[in-house]
Amino acid sequence: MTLPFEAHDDPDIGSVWTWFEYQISLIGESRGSVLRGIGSGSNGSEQALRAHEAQFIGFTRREVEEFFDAQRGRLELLTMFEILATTEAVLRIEVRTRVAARRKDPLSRRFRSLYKSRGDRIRLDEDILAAMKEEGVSPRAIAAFRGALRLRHWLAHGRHWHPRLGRGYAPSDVFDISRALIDSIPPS
Amino acid sequence: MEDQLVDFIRSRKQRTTGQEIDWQAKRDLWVRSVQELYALVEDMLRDSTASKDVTIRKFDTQIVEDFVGAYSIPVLEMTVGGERVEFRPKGVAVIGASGRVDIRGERDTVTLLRDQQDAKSGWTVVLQRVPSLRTAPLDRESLKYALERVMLPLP
Repeated sequence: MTLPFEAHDDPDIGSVWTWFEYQISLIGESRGSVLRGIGSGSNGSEQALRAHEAQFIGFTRREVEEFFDAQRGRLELLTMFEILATTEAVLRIEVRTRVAARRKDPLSRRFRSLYKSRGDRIRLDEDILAAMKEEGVSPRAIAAFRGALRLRHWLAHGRHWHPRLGRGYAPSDVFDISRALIDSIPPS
Repeated sequence: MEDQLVDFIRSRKQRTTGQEIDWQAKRDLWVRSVQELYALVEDMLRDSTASKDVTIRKFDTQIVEDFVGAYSIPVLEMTVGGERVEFRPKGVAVIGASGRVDIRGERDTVTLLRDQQDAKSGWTVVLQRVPSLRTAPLDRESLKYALERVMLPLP
């Protein structure tokens, strides 16, 4: 299968969340299916396991649980990254739309001014979020999202250092932070 | 009005009633099969033991498993020069096999799986898990492979 590497014009953190919940349910089903192989006591056989479950042969209950906990953990990290990346796309498309529409509201004017000075090199934090803050978007929503950008940076660079995030994050936290920021964008 | 919680618990119990397992019998069979395994390994190593290239001792360890509880089972330890390798039972309640023994050396661990639910059944060596599972029946050749994998490489 060849993936369509093309512009995503309608980014939506809700669809990311739907994907996340579906994947979580698949992990849960797979975990249950594998663990039932122990609890039934049948001990089955290598052939009785589905192809992708062959790697569990000989695993104890604890090892299976550790495996699926790790799967869930990795999915949660990936989901947080996806939500933050999608939120950035939402913000950048908002800038592009307001610039193109030449609207007269203060935030649209700020974005047009930014576009004139920086063109396509507009930065998320220093330009877009700063402009939003100056035009009255909830400082609390912006500060929370800026905090989460440290998480995104850590995830995007392979987590090879110990991050100083100042708090813990679950996917639902990142979703709520992103939703709050998107919802706080004033209408044009 | 019927108590829905009671009904729920009862229906769950009824669904599993026909599948109740005699874990104590499975455990006893498992311990015997491990003893059979050690006899087989000692037989494979008979010449090396006779020439004193390898020494073997056995001692009991305690295992605690879900469904089965706590029980005692022997570990086989072989020493070659200054290096030790242990055949350490992991448990009977495992996925897709009737028991598992880990061959643990100073470099790595290789898994042995008991094939069927009788004490005289064969054992399988897990050669590789990913990207795809590869196994081989336990024999002199696969035992040599396992020992090569778990023991430190020669300098």
